[in-house]
Amino acid sequence: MSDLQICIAGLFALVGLLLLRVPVAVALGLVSFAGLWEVVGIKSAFSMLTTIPHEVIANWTLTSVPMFLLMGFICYYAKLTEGLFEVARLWLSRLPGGLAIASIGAGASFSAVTGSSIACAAAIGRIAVPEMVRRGYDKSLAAGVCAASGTIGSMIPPSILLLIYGIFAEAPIGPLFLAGFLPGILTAINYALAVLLVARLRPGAAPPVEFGVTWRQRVAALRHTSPTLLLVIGVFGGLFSGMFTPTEAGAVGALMALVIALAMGTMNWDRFKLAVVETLQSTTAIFIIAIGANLLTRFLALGGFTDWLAYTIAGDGLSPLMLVAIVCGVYLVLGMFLDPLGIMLLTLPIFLPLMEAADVNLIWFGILIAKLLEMGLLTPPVGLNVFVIKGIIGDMIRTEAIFRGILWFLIADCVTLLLLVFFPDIALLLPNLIQ
Amino acid sequence: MIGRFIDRITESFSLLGGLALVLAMVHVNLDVALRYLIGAPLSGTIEIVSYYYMIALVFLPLAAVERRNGHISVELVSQKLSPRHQRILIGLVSLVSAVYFGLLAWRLWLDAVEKAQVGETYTGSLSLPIWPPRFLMPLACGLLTALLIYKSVRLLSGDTRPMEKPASHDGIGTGEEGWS
Repeated sequence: MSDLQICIAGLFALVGLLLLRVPVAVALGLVSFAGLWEVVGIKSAFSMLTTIPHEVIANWTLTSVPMFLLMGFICYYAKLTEGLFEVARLWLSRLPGGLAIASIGAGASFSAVTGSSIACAAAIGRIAVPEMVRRGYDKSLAAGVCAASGTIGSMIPPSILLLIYGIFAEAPIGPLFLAGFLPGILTAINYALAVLLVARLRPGAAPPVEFGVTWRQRVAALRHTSPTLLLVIGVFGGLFSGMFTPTEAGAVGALMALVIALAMGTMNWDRFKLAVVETLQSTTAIFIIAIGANLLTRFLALGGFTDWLAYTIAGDGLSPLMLVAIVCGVYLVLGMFLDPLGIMLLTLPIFLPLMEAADVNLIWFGILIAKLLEMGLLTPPVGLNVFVIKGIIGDMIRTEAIFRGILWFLIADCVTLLLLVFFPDIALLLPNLIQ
Repeated sequence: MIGRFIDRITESFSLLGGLALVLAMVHVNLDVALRYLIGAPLSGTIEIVSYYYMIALVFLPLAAVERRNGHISVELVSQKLSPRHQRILIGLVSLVSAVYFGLLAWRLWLDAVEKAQVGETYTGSLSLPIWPPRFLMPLACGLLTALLIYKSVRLLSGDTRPMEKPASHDGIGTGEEGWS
């Protein structure tokens, strides 16, 4: 077998092992190790197996991941975010479908303290779905809007997806985070338009709610969440002004969240322990895969697969736009079945060199991937955000009904995606302004 | 008996991992505070966080994550199998995983011993020995290997007493979902 054939056989073996439920980290590691053994010999294969884990993990940039995760989980378990929905509800109550739009607003603001769309969906869904159902909203719309709002979590900074992407693509984290901001807002706006459309087409689905809300109430609610707003401003002000590195921003944010939660009396030992355990769980699960993904990168590069793919695609005269279209297709299909970070770590070793060869802007590409993977959280049969909402609200709504409620928001996402593809400036405007 | 023993170590490792996480947070905050308050950062923060805390907090919880079924895998096909077949499949898969982590434990141990003998040190603004935390990697991988072998023997021998811990009671944190 030629080296190239070994690579292709390796990729097939990888898919086979994954389907047999071998953990992603193990499948990546074993296949790459075996492949490297064939391509460069056992001595070099062993040497890479020993050096890469340390090289990947003992890395200052990577330390930002557990720090941002910790900040998000502390906010989540200390319920620092419950006031956000209240604020959004009071300020948006006049609109048709106001509560649904308030959920989207709450999702967008919660996104600014967490990098995880699943935590985001869980936090919003817990408060907003029962409230909407109580006010006579269509159940599938109520659940669907919360599942969708969660996906804003990986767009608006901080974003764990973008963080990991940046580390792998060697793209600077600050500009990458900034680049996610406008697409996140755009996503929220398109979701809100979808709600308005549904409210117009089926008035029964989102009945108008007359609260008789006064400005005094609105301002009071805003004041109540001011600590959380302060946290957001502190963390991002520090990060984008260059005062903090990403790791420092995450660590300062985690400590600030802890202090705020203690001051507000919403933190106790059990909740803190949960936040720490969840952070460790996520960090370990991600990085053990990252080690395997790094091994795969070496294997595919040394076996010549990476170059071959880049040349083949370039030789076929594929325009960057076609390339992006293919990538979109691949991510949407994978997103129906796998989790976002798993997909990203699996595919970046193949796609990144390809994009570099085609001279695609890597920051823009990162935002595009994040958007595609977020859509994967909503698409059946495996839509993690939908399952999270289902897990929270239990028997009230059937899973299929939530997927039905998602449909409008997926259409909105397609619009967002097309806008991102044809107007890259939506992503690149802010990072370019700063430079 | 063996299960309980493995669980004890798993939990202690996990606790140490949590300690490393909290210490990392405190350490970085101290560094930032000192830098902006008195203009003198803690030297070696980057190195201590990367070479010590990071290794500890990523590797030490390895077995605990497995205990919660938190390692990410694709359950598309396996969930269609009967419970008995699923058990056999997971038993076999655990053995495959044990091979990988056993391999890592073995090679990383040899490497750690080698680095200890030469006294691997980071030299920059300060001189920091960085070989000691290297031993955490093979120890954690070794523990996970033991857990995986134990799990697979139980599953394949048809021991159906419950072993998995109950999932976390919250919306997130049932392992599979809490991480993206």
